Order: sequence, then structure tokens, then C-alpha cells
Amino acid sequence: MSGRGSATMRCVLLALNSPGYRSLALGYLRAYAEEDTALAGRVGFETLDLDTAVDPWWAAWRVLGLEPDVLGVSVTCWNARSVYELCRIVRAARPECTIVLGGPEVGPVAEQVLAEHPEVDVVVRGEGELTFAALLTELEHTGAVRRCDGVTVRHGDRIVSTPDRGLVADLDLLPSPYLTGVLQPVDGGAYLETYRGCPHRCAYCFEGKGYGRIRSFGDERIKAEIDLVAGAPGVHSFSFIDPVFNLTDGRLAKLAQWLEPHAAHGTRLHTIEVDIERIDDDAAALLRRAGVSSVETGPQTIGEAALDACSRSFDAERFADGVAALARHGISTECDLIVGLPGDDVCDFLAGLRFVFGLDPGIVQSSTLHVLPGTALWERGHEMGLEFDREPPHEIIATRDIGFRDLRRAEVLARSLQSTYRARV
Amino acid sequence: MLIGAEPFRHPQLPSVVAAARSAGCQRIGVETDAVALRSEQNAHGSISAGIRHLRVRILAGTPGLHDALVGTPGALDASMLGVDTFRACAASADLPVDTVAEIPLCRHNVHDAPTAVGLAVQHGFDRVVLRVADAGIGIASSMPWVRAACDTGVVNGVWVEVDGLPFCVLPGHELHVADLLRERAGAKSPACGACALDDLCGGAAAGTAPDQLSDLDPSRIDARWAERVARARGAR
Repeated sequence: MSGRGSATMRCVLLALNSPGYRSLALGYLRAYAEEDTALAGRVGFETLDLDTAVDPWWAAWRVLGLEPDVLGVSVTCWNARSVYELCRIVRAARPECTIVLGGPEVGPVAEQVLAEHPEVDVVVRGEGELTFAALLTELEHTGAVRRCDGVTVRHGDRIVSTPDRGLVADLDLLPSPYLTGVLQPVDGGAYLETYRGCPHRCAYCFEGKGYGRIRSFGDERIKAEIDLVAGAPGVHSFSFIDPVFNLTDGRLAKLAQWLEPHAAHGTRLHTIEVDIERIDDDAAALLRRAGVSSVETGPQTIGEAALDACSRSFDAERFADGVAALARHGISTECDLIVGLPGDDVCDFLAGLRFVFGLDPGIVQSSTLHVLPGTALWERGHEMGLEFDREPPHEIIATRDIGFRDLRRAEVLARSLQSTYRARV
Repeated sequence: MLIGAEPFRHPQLPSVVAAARSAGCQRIGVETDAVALRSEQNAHGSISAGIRHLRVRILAGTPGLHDALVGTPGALDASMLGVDTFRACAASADLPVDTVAEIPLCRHNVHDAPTAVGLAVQHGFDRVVLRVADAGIGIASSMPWVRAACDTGVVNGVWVEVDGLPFCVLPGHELHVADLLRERAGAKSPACGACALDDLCGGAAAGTAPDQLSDLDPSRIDARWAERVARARGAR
């Protein structure tokens, strides 16, 4: 490849989302890149927000119709198989296209991804905004990616990882995908981000993404995003991707103050993730004022061994008090449980189900453990007795405490119990 | 749960359901043959009234066998049509319902248990309960059918619960037998009282024939299950 001269480089950004959603990650990437003066007038962007039900061959048809010079794809464990198939098709049909992957499924295992997928040219590791823009700049000038920090690339037949790029210290330097108009809010599918990182270090989770400390967007920007999304025509509900909405009491109060005017007009927040053990009547009242109609929380497990193995804490009384406080304020709680955590046997999982059903929270949801790249379980799974599928979505196959057949039985039993619970007037 | 010979033949059923709702009941169910629900009017009316749970007795998955056991030609097809209509009405109203197939097991139908589970899967049941109802059922000879029925359910995503059989006759299928999430429907066989694991196991049904008790063998119980059940019971 060589420098492009005066022709505008065509960059297609692709996400295969859960139905109804738009990729916030791609929105951030594009918003930053479009304001990067080094790229101004030299790179044109097109975003394809498709959903996971789309056949990868048809997704490739859409991509190839745009004749991309660069294809950037956001990869999660849920869409990875389809993404890899799509990349093989695009590589074969348009070999001159530079294919770049990023996201939590590929960043932590970038070298492995390139080794196993010759159709992929570059993997962006960590936060993508600055890295992707720098990558495009280098590509546009030189036709290759060699010096950009934060990527893993091929140099001939070698796979090379450049130095990690530091995290963005001031998140407000990242243009808002909503305020720039890059992302249009859709009813029920718009998500806002008020901070990056997570106060918890659950061994199965990649919410923190290795970010370490928590970094927040500024108050003024958050309020502006809320006003824009909540005020958008046709938007009656939206949500936040923050792993803990009630990160601090002060933060919750501020958010409630900003959201309340929109709640008064009927706008609702759905499935906000909260730390339920810190919810009391005051916090529940704030959530109600903010328009929250439902929250999502754990306990994920109540088994002592699993809690210890996953670096989680659990206080049954405080958990129950939190659910009750929310119920008093008309907010339903979705209680989540995971089957297959290290240290849990089937009876531990069933005990967890008994506990949450006993609270009558509104919604009970269980899922099978998926061991995700970048998590502590991915690193230590073998020593913890976890056998999981190395292929995405990395579902647990068996553990030291639950065999394959009993895991499948537990899944079916849990679904049956949830059906019984859900069926009510 | 409203039970009886056939609740849908009771003229006061609507007012009973209304009274239950007024009293604050949120989960209202009916134990029925579902024949009356073939009528969309009845199905819609039931759902509107607040019925969300159906427990439907199926004696076999093979129509000829079921019909012969209940003594009515066409009975199974009529029941299944009622279930389908009820579920379709609920779906059109976007209301969640829960349907359970109750299969009383006896020496005449145990061999048909896998087929009955298959029928339940086909008609969208959420759960199947195999309930040992025959003190003279051959435990040892029945277990392959019971195991096959459980496995048929699991591979098709429908949970099969077994009531009236102890762990020791279904090694490897303990989860289907474990009563960790429900209270036992009836008393245990007195023979189980002599077993060292009596306080851990649901045991054989109270009326189990003495000649069947030799099939019970506590040594077959997986020690890990015994430990888990003990821990779970201690936590209750």
C-alpha cells in the first residue's frame, strides 16, 4: 500500500448489535475522528449499525457496496463469529481494504486474533478514539500502520504490538457522539456514558476494561447529552451504560436533578445498573424522580466460595432492603444470577434462585457464565477448574463443581422457574 | 391453584377467579384438561380474568393410549388444542403464562413417558412433572423410561421434574428428583426411614409396594450430591 494522494479515504465503521441498539463505541470513534484536523477533508466516514441477526454474507454485501478503504469493526463476544466470517468475505472480495478490529473481545488477545485470523490487518487495543484516529492518519499518509501506539499489526509475517496508549485523562476532550450529531437517539436504544471504569473488580467481568481508576465526563456535557437525548423526538426511554449508576450519593442526586424535568414529561430510564446494597429509601426516591422504571443488579451468586473466587461481596439483608426500597417507590428490580461460576455447585445456584424469588423483585434473569478475554477468569480459568469454549462467546462447558450435563440441566431448570415467576397479573 | 374434577365445568369459576384477584393473588392457576380452552372465547376470558398458570394432566403422549386411559376418544387432541389456543391468546395479548404438563406414571403408561414429554415440548409447555402414581410400578424396569423422558425434556429446553422417586434409583439425574425448590407432594415410604440418608432424600412415595423397595439402594447416591443437598437444606 502507498499514500493516497488527494483521494478521500473511505472508512466504514460496522457494528453487529443486539436488535434495536446503536453502537455507542462507533459513535465515539467517529465523533473524535471527524473532529481530528489531521483527517479533515481526507477521510470520509459511513457507519453501519446492523444487528446480530443479519447474515454475515448480507452484512458483507452492505459493506462492500460502500467500497471501503478501511473497515473498522466493533467486536464483542456475541458478534465475534459473525464478524470473522464477514471479514473473510470482505478480504476475499476487496483485498485492498484494511480491516481493523477493536473492542473488548479482541483488544486483550490482539496477537492471538491476528494469528488465528489472517483476514484481519490491525487490532486496536484499549480505548479506541485516539488510537483509531492516529491509525487512520498514518494509513492515509503512508499506506501502512507501523508506528501508531495502541495497536497490534502484521509486519511481514510477524505480529507486532506497539506500546500501549495511555488512557485519555480528560474525557471531555472526546467529542460527544450525540452532541456532534454523529449518533441519533432512538427510542429505547440510546445509551449515555457518564464515566469510564468500575469501582468493582469482579473476576468474570470486563466492565472496568482494565481502566484502573474511574474517569468522569464533565457535568455540563452530561447534562447537555441528557437534554438532547431525552428531548429527541420519539424518544420515550433511554438508559446509561455506567456499571454503577449510583456510584456516589452526590452523583445520583445530580443526575436525578438533571433527569427530573424529562421524567415529569414521561421519559423513562430502563435497566439502570445499580449497587443495590447501597439503595435506601432516599436513593430510591431519587431514582424515581429521575424517571427510573427498572434497575438491574446482581447478586450473580450467593455462594461463599464463588463470591470469594470472583472477588465479590454480598450482604443478603442489605440486598433485600434495597429491593424492598425500590419496590416501595414503584421501581422493579431485575436480579441477575450466573450459573457456572467457580466455586458454585448446582445447589448454590438453586439457593441463589430461591433467594431472589423470595424477594419478589419483579424480574429474575439467569445466564450461563461466559469467560471473557481480559477478565481474571480468562487468565486463571484453568487453575480454577473452568473448562470453557475458547471460541466466542466463550461459554462455560464444565467446572470443577458442575459437569457439562448438570450445567445444561441447570439452565433449563432456571428457565422453567423464571417462566413460573413471570406469569402473574 | 384451582383444582377439582374439572374447574372449567364449575359455573362459579369466573367469580372465584375474580375473588382471588380481589384478594390480591397475582399468580392464579387452574388444573384442567384444557378442553374448554379450545374455544377462543374461553381462552381469552380466562386470560382476561387473570388465569396465568395451567396444569394439564396428560396420561400419555400417544393419542390412542391417552384416550384409552381416560375413556374418551379424541381427548388428547382436544386437550392439546385447548393448550395451544390458551397460549396463542396469551401471546397475542403479550402476557406471560406458564403451562405445566402433569403426567401421572403407572405401569400402563411409563413406557410412553418420553413420548409424552415430546408432546409437551411440541405444544410449548414450560415444564413437565412426572408423578409416580402407582405403588405397583416396577421401579427398576421403569427407570430407563424416566431417564429418557428427563433427557428428552432437557435437550428440548423443557424441564422435567420427577416426584415420588428417590435419588438412589436415578443416579446421574439427581437434579430432576431433588426437591430443593418445592415441598414434597406427599409422604415418603416408611422403608425410606431406615435409610441413612432419609433426611436428605425425597424418598419413594408412601404407597410404594414392598417388593419394589429392594430396588432402592442408597449406596448408589453420589456422595457429592449428598453433601450438596445437606448444605442446601441447612441453608433453608
